[in-house]
Amino acid sequence: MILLALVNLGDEAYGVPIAGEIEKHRGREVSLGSIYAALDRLEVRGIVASRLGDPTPERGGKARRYFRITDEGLRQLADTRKVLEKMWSRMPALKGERA
Amino acid sequence: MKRRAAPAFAGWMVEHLVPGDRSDGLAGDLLEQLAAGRTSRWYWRQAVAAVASGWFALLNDQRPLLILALLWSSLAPAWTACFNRLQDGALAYAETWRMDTPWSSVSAFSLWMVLNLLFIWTPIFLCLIPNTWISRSISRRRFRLALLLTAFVFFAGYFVEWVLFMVFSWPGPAIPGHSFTPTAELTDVRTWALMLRIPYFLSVLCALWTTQVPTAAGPCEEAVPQPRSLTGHRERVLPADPSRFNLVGLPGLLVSGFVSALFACLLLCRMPGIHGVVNAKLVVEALVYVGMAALAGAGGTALYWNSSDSPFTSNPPLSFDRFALVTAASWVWVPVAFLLVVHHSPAAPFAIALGAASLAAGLRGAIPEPIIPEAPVKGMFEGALRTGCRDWNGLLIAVCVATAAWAFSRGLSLPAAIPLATAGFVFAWKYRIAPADSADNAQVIRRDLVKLCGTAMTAVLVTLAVMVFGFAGRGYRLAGVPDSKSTVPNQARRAQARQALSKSSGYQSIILWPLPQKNEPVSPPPEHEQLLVPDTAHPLIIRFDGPYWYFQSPHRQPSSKAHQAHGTPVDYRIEASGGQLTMEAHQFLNGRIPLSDCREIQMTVANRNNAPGTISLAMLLTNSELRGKPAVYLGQQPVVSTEPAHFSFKSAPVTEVLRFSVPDKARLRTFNEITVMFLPERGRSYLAPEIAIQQFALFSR
Repeated sequence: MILLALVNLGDEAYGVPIAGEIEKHRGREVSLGSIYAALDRLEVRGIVASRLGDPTPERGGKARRYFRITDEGLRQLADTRKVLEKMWSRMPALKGERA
Repeated sequence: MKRRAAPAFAGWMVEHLVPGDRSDGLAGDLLEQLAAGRTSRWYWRQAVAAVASGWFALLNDQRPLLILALLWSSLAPAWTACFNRLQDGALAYAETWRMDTPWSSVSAFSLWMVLNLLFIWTPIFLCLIPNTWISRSISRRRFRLALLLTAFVFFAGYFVEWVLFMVFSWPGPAIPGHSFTPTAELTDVRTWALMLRIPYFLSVLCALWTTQVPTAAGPCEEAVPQPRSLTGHRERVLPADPSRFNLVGLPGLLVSGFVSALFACLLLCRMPGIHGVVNAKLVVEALVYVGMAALAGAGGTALYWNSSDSPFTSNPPLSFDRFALVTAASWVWVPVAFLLVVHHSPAAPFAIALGAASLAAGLRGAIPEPIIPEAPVKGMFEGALRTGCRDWNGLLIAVCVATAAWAFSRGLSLPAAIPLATAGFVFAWKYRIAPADSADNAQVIRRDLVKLCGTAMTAVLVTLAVMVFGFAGRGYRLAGVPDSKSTVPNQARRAQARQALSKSSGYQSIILWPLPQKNEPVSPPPEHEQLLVPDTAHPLIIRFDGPYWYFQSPHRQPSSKAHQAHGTPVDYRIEASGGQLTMEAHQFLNGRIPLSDCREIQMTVANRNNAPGTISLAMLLTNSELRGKPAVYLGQQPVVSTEPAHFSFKSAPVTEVLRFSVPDKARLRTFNEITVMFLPERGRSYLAPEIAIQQFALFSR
């Protein structure tokens, strides 16, 4: 979900919009700390990359940290999508779901 | 957008408790959301979740390290059992470790530290080998750092635990050391065993973490390789604001300086000898002690300052000369504190606190005040109304002083030094005004040099006073209770005893005879007479007038060249220079007493023992006239006032009566000697019990 949010947000993806994007689709509040923890792990694995923006007064003088998905991340995302689509295509319609 | 302040503690949590160095982005995001209308409650929720999820993710990534550290530290009690066996066995008799005081303490501590570090470092090497095989190279610097850090964490953890034990469960846990077996200790889950595992767990985890866990890198796109200097070390990135002093490296500098000064004191500082005290010599000794402590402290600081691990290798916030001068003004107090601590003086905590306060005041005077931009105040008194009057430093000082007072009231002068020193340091640090501007460097150094000279001279005078009064106090203690009727020969004999019983006398063994009692002749019972005082039903009383034997294992009695002196054990502190010290008391009777006539022997003892640890007394009845000197063992009885539950600091001897039942049937029919063996618990067997035997009461059957 975080990777998809990053793709959707493009270059302006930092903690707040990523959390907002996920909350919008999930309908539940998301902890910013858990998003950063997950992004850190993805960064260590080379799936996302980050850069620091300019500090702003409303952020207490702290800079934004912008994330973007790397080429390796895009490749893995595409692979995951293929696998998921294949598995969903073979899945019979679930109860309560429209065919 | 209107800026709202985050809840103070929650903000601190986000900035300091979230692992990794990426908390700035998170803190900024939270502040941005707060400014956008989120509530403080939401901020709190996010802060707690961030800390929890951050640590969970970090620990989850390092599960193998945690499990290894946990498993390895669970072996600690078994290791301790092996170590104790080794120490009591082969090493106790090894000539290498048989040194005179204080070298015996140094060698024992070194042995303990080295063996424990070998145990702790083993998993590092175990992890290093597979890592090298998989060609995942480990930084040599980090490996070295891990080894050093482990030693520090282990020692600090052990020391803190010991202090906590002393403060909250004086005189420490009752550990049945003699019944230890390494295999049984593997599954030992008693409190003391669990507590023992904690410093080992922290040390092993710290070592593994330092060598295995990669340091958090900055953002990928901003990670720029740091330039290398000609010597191969990476150049350090300077802080943006040079007026902000980097406090991260400060504890390391202070610890290295302090340890060096302490080591110099350990090697040099001695109280003056019992005889031949010359005032001029004392003055020179005090000067040397203070001077060497200051030099050693500066040397230790210089070592760390110039090491590759130091944060001050390039563009330090103040010059080394100045830092060395400022800190040396506190190292000069180390000899005073050392001498007072070694001689169990109640003034020791105050000397330590004085040194800590001096250190803090000196540092505060040298370190520039960080420039913190003030928030604009809109209305009159708004700032005063907004800023709460909370002084956590005052609270900390009050708690420390109260803890120190409580420890003093319990007679724990050394543990009281820690809170007192903390209070002194914080007080001096917070309430000394930092310099507003930096004057000419040469002028400042001259000023600091003058200050150091003044402080050093004061320290020399105090050291001199401690040496003179310490000498006088020790002389009084060794002389025992002054006797106005004592004769000149008695004084000479006591002086000889003092000389003999000083720790550095170097005697292989000592025989201590009680001082002769005037007009109280010993009345050994006549042979074959009932054990009753004539014409009464009272038990027969035999006042103890025999010798006390002090000798070291593996001997079984004092050597033929044993030094003989007069005195009572409650007035002397006799330590073994190596190995186990054995103490016995022997009461010789003029006649033989039939064993069948005696039902019970009650022994009255005077205990003035202030070292923790249970001491038991065992009694033997011997017939020394028969071949082979057959004996009957009457068992052993603990001295109740030495047991942990009844222990208290004693300024005067406590009298106690121990009862020993005599069997009616034994292979011995008569006895003419009573032997009392002093059996201290392991761990304090190097120190002779300060227990004197007063009399025996023999009850007829």
